[in-house]
Amino acid sequence: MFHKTGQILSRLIKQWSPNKPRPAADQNEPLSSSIQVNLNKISSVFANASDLVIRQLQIGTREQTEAFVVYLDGLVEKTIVNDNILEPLTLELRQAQANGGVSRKRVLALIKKQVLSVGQVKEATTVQAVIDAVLSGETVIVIDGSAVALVANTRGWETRGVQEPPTESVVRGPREGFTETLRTNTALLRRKIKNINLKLETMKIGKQTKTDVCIAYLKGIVNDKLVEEVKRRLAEIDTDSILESGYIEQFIEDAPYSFLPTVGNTEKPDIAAAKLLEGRIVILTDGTPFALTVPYLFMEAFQSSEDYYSRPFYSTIVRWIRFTAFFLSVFSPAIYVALTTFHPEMLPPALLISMAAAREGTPFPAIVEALGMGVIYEILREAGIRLPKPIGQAVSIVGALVIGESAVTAGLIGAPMVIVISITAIASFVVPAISDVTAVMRLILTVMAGIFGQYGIMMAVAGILTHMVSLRSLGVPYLSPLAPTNIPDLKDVLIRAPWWAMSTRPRVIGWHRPVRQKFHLKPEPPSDTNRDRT
Amino acid sequence: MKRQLIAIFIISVLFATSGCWNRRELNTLAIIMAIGIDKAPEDGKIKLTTQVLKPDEIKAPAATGGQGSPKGVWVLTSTGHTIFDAYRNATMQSDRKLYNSQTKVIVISEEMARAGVRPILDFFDRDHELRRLSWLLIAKGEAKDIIEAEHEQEKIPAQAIESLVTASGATSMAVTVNLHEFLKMLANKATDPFASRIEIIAEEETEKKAAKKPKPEESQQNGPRKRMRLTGAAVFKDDKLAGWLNRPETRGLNWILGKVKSGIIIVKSPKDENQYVALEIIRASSKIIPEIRDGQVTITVEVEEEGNLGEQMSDVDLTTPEYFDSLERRQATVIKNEIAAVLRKAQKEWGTDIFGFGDAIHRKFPREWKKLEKKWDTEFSQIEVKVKVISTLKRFGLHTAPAGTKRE
Repeated sequence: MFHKTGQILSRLIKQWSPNKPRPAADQNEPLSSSIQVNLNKISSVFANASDLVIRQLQIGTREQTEAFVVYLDGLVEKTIVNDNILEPLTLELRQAQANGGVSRKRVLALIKKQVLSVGQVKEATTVQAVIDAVLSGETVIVIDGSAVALVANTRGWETRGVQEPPTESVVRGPREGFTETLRTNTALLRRKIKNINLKLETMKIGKQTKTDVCIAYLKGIVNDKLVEEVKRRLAEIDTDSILESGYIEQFIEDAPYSFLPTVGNTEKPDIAAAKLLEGRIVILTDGTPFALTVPYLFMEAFQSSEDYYSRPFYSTIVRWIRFTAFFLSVFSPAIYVALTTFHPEMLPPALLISMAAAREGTPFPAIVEALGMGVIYEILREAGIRLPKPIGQAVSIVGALVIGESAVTAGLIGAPMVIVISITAIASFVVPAISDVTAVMRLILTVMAGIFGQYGIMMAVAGILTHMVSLRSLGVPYLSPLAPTNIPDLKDVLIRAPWWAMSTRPRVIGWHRPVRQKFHLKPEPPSDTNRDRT
Repeated sequence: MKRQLIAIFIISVLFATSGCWNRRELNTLAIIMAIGIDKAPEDGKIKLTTQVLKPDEIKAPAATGGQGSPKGVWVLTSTGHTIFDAYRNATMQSDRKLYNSQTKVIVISEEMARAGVRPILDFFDRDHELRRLSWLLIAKGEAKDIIEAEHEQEKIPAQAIESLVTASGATSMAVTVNLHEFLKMLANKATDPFASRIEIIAEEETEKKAAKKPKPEESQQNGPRKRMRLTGAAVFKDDKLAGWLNRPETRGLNWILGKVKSGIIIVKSPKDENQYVALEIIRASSKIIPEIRDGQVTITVEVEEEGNLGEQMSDVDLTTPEYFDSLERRQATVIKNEIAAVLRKAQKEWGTDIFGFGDAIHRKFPREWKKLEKKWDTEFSQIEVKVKVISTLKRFGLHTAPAGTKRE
């Protein structure tokens, strides 16, 4: 059904938007060997760019050669430009020439090989390449008489340091989080996985923003077809801008019309590394600390990095608490509405009496109460997030007072409904990764319960489950390993097996090389025979 | 396209098959807790008394300022030619729809029960709202009195009645029969039904005996307060009330049915015939073994019982093997007497098979039963019933001899 609407929509959009191809980049021509031409071209392209720095200089002693260095102020590390480019060009080159003498033609090679003391130096032959390099914080050196420009990596700009991410806080475990800088993020990954098989492939997406996007995967563990598929999907993105990984997520997800996410995200390098080690693919985007992970399964929402760092017993309990919280959060308003308006016979008498007492004199039907309170809660939550922190507290106090106390004492709303909504709200925080999903499911179920009672709940559950089992994330069934059932994989879903027992990776994803470690790793005290010998 | 049409069709069918659909808010319902059925003064009419919950009264605990215990229920009386008719007539007094699903107790008056309960119970069996787990009780006297009676501990008298019924295992001197069990016995041709008996004891009586002081004003205003009490069982012949069992006889019935859970057996002390010994029943079970020899039916009722010495009033240590043996024998005698009493009444006085003897024969001798079935009504009174009681005493509590007495 969704596909159909999708087709119609996309056709409409096509008709709307002017189908003309954008004017091709007019700078795709090669560099000229005349420095003046190049200078004019570059300065005209960067017209009105006040942060552009073009430093013209003459290099060499015998044959004074015209050259210029171009970079964007603020994107480069100034000390590098000064100490490792400008100074060698002006001073050291002169010495080199004084010693041996270099012909004008070889000066470029000389500069590249002997003069520049910068880690990474590339050559650029087109104007476009020069522009790209300058825009991404590199310094370009153009020399008269050469149609090849040198590109030195001098990137360095003000960044936020590696901090503890606010979204995924842990009690035990690393506290570092990704930053907005792609290089820092890849470095964080490299530091977790010191392995040549960790591949980081970068591509630029976004015609205007030219955002660096990096596909990280562990060769040998990842399914190569998945990597190809991710690359294909990324290559197909033809858009103006990528400002956050959320843009990419919506361009590559499997089920764009589903309320369920088929692409995961994380802000923590240790989580990203764990996903890589399970055979998943991580997509890092420059400019955001949120990395995408694919394939993403529903059950991942119930796993927390801390589960794996603490001992298995409590981790297993906590996992089940998350399941319980999820079900509470999704079902409790619906069940309350269904029971009070359709099936009072299902309530134990003592409970019915207190519920009936609470409902006495309330003006609205239970369904209206449930939906209204739900909306008010969402408003409070949104206000709490958006407001500056000091005001946010005031909002929560007012909200708690108005909704918790006054609405009940004023007789507008029954006290059980307040309890139900509070449980719902708190429970949805236990599984933060899919709190938006629970909100949608809750709404569907509550409305259905308000119309059809328990029958409606069952209808909605059947519908949602059918939808969930039909979903795929990069070809991996969304509800696996539950459906289709994969018993070995349940060791990390229904329980959290101790590490020595988790000998295989998730088969559905890491099928390529499922064995992670030796079997029989259970620690044991030395046996009695050994003790006798000593 | 075809698949989508099919999907849409299936989904629309789902919406149409929701079955009996009715949206009712809790605050539009009059939740019935108990029902009483009497004969109306008008000829051939039925008087229905319902105990309806007043949620508001229960919500605020003493918020109005302790003027005695506020009544948590409202008693509503209506009449009609049939039960259903009476129900609908009640809505002319109640602004809310009478809601039956939480009914705990159905009380039928003695008069109605004597006339036959089958016509009455049809509605309760047929209506989808009523649940068959409601307890069925027969009132000695008017059912309305029971429904109107208050209870000191519970704001909702129906809950008190329910607790009385469910807690009767402590003595095993009452039967617990819900609507479902009763209807099952009624449907079974071989077995005759029985139900709990409930009666009113006016507070005055007990008060007067205890103290002659007049009670505070409120009791005078309200007239004598009524209390209810479970007293034995009501025995039916087919659907008509045949008679009552007193409390020991009721326990006799429970012995045979194997339904004794707990209770106290009082015997005389073997040392001192003027003092009593209380034996606590710990567990009991029974077997009904039918036998047919030369066309003669005999039933053997085997009761196994295990008890503890719970209390003794004589001043001697009874925990010797000799005394224990003697107590066991006395215990068995009491059980036998209780069983004999109920057997005599059921067989000789009323001829009602409330024990399920017929069923036992049917199960063991299906062929012979076919012949026996038709004349079972008369045959039942004639059959020989042997009672075998195996009763043991196990433990004697925390001490052996009462304080200050010596072991013999």
